[in-house]
Amino acid sequence: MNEDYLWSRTGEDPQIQELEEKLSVLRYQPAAVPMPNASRKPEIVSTNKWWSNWLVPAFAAALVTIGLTVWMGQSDKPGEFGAGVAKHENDAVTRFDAITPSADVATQIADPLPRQREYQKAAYRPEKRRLANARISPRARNSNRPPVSEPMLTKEEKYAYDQLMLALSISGSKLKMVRDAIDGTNVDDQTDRSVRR
Amino acid sequence: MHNIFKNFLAAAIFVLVPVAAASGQDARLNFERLNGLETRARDVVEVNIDGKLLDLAKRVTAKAPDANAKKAAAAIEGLKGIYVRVYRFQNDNEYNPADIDEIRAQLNSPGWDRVANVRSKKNNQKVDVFTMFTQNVMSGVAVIISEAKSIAVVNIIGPVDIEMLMEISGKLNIPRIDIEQEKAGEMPPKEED
Repeated sequence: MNEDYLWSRTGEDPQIQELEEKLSVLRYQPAAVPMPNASRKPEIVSTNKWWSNWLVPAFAAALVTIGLTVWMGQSDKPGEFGAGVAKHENDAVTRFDAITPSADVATQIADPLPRQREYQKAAYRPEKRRLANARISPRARNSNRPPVSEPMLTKEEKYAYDQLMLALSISGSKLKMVRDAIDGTNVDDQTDRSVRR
Repeated sequence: MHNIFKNFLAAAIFVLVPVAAASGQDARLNFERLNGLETRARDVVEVNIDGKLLDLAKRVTAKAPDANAKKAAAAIEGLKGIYVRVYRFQNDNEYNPADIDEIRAQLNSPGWDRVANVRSKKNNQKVDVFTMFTQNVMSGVAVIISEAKSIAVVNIIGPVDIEMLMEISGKLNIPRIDIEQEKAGEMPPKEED
């Protein structure tokens, strides 16, 4: 076998030539590839249904509408914030709670509408901008806070207050006993009373 | 001249010392004789509030939004000290009457005026109330209640609204303590100096 003929067809090799002749039927015949027309736009075939383009925005709008309806319905309840404040005030009367409405609650009572508009603006912003400019409504902010509790007293203050209340309670009860004894509430025949007025 | 000055100084001391002695400081009773009752009593309540502790408590009470606390703050505005001793015994006559009589003897000193005296054979009850006034201003109150099973001594230094104290007793923001009632397992807090 002439390897030169096999590589570069130089020289002669009768065996290879005979094989080439027999296999010439199967030889690749390159054909010109038709070039696409540059002015013609490619035809885009969409697999989505025509209504799917409106599905996501419609769903988002429905959620926003439902949320606004619920929120407005709750804020329309009479005296909600006032009752809450009153409840805190009532607690302050009976318990040692120095609870005062926060500025955020006062703002809610005074003007709820601007927050509603603010919420609507946030709902229709693009996703990235919404996350970047997200605002927590005062109500949500307050709901995340722990309930307002009684004022924080130091250990010394608590101890002093408790001791004083204890002493005053006992003193008052003993003075009541004296008054009852003097007034004759607990009087029986064996009681000798003398009172200097 | 020197003699006149010395006489004047002596007279001033002679006048001022009784005045100082009649001040609120003398309204305080000495409870040392009662210390021995702690080991014998079943229940003991001992409260001493004066000085800075009382000032601190007054400030906290004045700031409390509770209406009864505000009344208490008004009642104790001029208070200088309050001392309470309550001893309750398991059985009758477990304490020496001389211990409580020594306290009563202190109230026989000048300055104290007895305003109430109640004696009852029921439970061998003895009730004494004394007050001390300095220049028409109440400077002290002492209440001694002794029974067969209990002793209670209250010593208040300074002016106090007694009527208000009785009104708000039991309404303050602490559990009402009624040493006289029989409650199983109830142990009043024991406070030490």
